[in-house]
Amino acid sequence: MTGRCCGLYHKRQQSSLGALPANGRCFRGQQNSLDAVLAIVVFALILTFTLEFWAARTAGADEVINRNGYQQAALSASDLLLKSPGVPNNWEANASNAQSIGWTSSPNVLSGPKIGNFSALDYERQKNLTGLWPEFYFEVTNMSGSVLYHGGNSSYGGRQQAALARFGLLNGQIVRIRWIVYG
Amino acid sequence: MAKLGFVFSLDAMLAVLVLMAFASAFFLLSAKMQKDSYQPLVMLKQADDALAVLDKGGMLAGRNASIVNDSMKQMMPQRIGWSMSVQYYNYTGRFAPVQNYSLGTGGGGANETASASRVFFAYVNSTDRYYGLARLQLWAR
Repeated sequence: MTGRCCGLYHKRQQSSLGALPANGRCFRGQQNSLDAVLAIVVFALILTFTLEFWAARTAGADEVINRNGYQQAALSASDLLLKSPGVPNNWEANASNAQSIGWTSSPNVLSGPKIGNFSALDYERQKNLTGLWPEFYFEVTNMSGSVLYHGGNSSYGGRQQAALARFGLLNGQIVRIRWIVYG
Repeated sequence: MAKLGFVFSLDAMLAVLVLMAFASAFFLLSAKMQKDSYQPLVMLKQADDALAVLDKGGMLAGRNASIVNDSMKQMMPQRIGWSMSVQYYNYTGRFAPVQNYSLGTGGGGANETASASRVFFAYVNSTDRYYGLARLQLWAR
């Protein structure tokens, strides 16, 4: 069946929409203002939803990235302090000249003077020497839970954090070193 | 009368909704499929630390399973399961097993485990020397 619509000839199959009107007029959706308004409203709703969804996903990704950073920082700092004596080896004699920090005389064998002198350093200096960019707090406790040494910033409550517990020997007894890195 | 524009808007809206549902499912499933690598790495560090402490503290060299067992129970929290095997050898031309013991509980069925091993030397006197191999496995209960 052929018909003429708005000056153009085309073939039209019989469909549920029926035949062309006898006067040959065509109703084009783009010229229907009600349909255009409806389309704009629908589009605006979908765009708003998409932007909100994207913002939520991005915020969640930022949290994951920060948490991964805190975890990596905690692992790196604990390895540095528990596995190396620092540079120079006797940095605790003159902490202001320390180039790298370590708490041990041999891996996992802690030195009380090194830990004590580290705790006595300025907080920013501690962060610089350990390479920690977020905030941190640490405790050295014996197996009974008594705190032998502590340092850093203890205001970690309610903040996103990464916690880590390691073990060492101090004066012949087993101690637990607890690290909390947060931002 | 053919209201093609209205039908096309509905079709487009449905297509966008389907796309958003697919994208949401994709992101959610991707996040769930990512395994946590931090806790297994922490357990690996703790296993290595525990063996180093037992070696340098003389507990392994003492060849006393009870002391090693008590030390491990002190270090490991309740939420961490562990099992350890320690083997001692002496050397008289060749390595010969002298003693071995196993401590802790079985970790069968644990999804993520961390293992560490350590070779150590136990010197009692000039004629009483042992070489040892300790293996430690940790898992989250």
